[in-house]
Amino acid sequence: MYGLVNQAMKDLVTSKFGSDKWSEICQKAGHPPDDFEAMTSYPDTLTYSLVGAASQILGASASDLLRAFGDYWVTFTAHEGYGEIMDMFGKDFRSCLKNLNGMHGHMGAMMPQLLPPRFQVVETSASQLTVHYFSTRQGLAPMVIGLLEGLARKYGDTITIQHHPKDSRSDHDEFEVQFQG
Amino acid sequence: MEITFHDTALDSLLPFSFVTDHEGRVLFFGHSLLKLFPGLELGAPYHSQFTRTRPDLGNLGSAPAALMGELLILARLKEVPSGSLEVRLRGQVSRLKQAEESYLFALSPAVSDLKQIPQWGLEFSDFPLGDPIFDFLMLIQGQRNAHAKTEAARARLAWENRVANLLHHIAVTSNELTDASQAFQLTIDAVCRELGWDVGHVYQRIADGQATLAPTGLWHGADLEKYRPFRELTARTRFREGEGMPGRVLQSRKPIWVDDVRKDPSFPRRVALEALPSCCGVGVPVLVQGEVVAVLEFFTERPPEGRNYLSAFFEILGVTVGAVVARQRALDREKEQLAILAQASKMSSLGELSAGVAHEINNPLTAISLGAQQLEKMISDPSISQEMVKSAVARLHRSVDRISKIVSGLKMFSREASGDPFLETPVHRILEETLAFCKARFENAGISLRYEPVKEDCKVECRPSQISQVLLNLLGNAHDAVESSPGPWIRIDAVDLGASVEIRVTDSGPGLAPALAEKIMRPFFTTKPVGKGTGLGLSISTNILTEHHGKLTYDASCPNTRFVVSLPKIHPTR
Repeated sequence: MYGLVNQAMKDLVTSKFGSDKWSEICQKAGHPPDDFEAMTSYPDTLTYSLVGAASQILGASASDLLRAFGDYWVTFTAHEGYGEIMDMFGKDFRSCLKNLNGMHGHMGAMMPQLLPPRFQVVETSASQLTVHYFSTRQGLAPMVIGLLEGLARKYGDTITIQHHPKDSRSDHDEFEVQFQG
Repeated sequence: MEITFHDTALDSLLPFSFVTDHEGRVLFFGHSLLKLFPGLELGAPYHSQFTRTRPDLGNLGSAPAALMGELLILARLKEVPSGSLEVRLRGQVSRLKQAEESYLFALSPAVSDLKQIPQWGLEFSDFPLGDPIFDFLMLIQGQRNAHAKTEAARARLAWENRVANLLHHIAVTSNELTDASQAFQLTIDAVCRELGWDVGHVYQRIADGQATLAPTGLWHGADLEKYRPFRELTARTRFREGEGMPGRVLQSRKPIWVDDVRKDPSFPRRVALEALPSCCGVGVPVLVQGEVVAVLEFFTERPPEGRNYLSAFFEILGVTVGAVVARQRALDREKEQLAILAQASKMSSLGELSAGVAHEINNPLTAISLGAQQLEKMISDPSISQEMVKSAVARLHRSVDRISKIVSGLKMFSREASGDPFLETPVHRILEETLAFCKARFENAGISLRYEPVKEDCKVECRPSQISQVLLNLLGNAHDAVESSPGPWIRIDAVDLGASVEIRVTDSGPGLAPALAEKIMRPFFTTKPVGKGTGLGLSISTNILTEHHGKLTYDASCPNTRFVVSLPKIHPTR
């Protein structure tokens, strides 16, 4: 994954728990507590190690951490200079979701090693839609929940999400998004 | 004209393009081009709808065939909320194979900044995936982000460097100061000057058995008229632990920020700042071994930059200044201990001298006794003249004067002199007054005392009784070293070296073994029997001479045992 992802995780942990905790996490994950180069690709195993170490040291489940991270990702990327790009990919929650694949496709121009997930958005009713999530990476579905929640808040929507993990009947995760109010 | 051309693949891959017949009449517009310019008309010549800025074909006209192989730039005005702007399209012309009489104008908007795209009413989805211009813009944006991060990091580094230099300056400069108040003043001056705070002040903890902070006269920015009511109120306000910003700092031992002290109910002095539009305050604990000894407080009308980093800075500042205070306290304690030791050593020397002093006093006392007997006889002898009586009384006075001088010298010697001023004093006077104490002691021990007279104009700036103490110590050591040896002698002389004077105490001993010479100046080292020497004499003498910017050395080049006292004639701190 690109350093931008790991850097976001570092920012999230240090802002909520302090830099000492992040140093502990890095030590446990066998990585120096330096900043990450945003546009450099790092092995996926490093990101997984950091999440695992953070879970142990902070006493939170990996699932909760990933969900918080997904939510934080929306504000982090905007702060890191990608806000204008994100704004171009949608004026509201729905259009943004529908354009996620295109955004990732265009992001490939600046991140040639990007291996983005794929999303398929199906509007089931005026107040409900289903997001189908396809990824070669395992275990990151909780991050998608956080991401959806963060995006909804960015556009002023209140949503509830029901997660249907992939199983023998389905080769991918599905998220039923219900709009409130 | 009937328009029949449509190609879904073309529309999808080149959405900003159009197709014309051989005369340039448009047969097809890509959907993104139509979105960009909703007023475009099918069937009308392209050159009536766009301005061609390149290539310049002169008389060759606008026929599409003539444009092939050239860079094509077309422009058209676009209505936007703020008026109209010229939008350019770049690309090239190709003949379509499946319809030889038609030409493809493969174009893309000439944008140089992603921000232009929403301004033109376009979205990313209007561009095909892999569109080179859009990809290029994304790359540029990535570079801009990276550049912005680098610039932010550089600015932060510069800020951190500035603050680190400030801490270094405070730590280094404070270490050269002699008391905590000077260090506090230097700190508030430096912080206000370098970080742009309006006012700095120091509250100090007082030793009242309770945790109380009292205001001090240490201010930076005290001349600012707008803070005058605040200064006056501060001068009358003390804080207990937990009260006001200083009291809360005392309680928490951490820096405390108040965004606007005027609006903080727990800031009792806010009434004196109401005239200001805003006032940010911070209280910083000065910590010595974890205890708050003072609280530095800073105030400014402008919100300070880099607050997150400043919080860390203020924590370090409190510890740094605390270390300076702790060091100064340790130095003060060391000075007190040295003064006590020096006094104890002096009193010990006095004890050793008492026999000689008793002898010195005994001689004139004997003379007084004899004189008194003589006067008694004179009273009963009518032949004695007035002159003879007067002469006898004069002798009595001289003996009393002699005793008085010895007692005065003893008083001078025994008093604690570490706070005395440095006085210009003739060297011969110091030597002679010192020798007066011990002359009898040497005579009693059969030691020959040799004194080389020193010129009267040879003077040093010193505390005379302290130098006398050093010499007495050296003479006492010499006495103990040679008293049991055959033909013992001790010589004291002084050498004028221009800017300094060397006073040399030499005895008839053969000198010190090298191993002994190395240790002799160390505290508690002694060659004397247990109970006779404290082992502090030379160490205390060294400290006294250090305060005089002089030194005490053992002269190994002398065939006998010689110690040399070197003193500058003018004390350097004058």
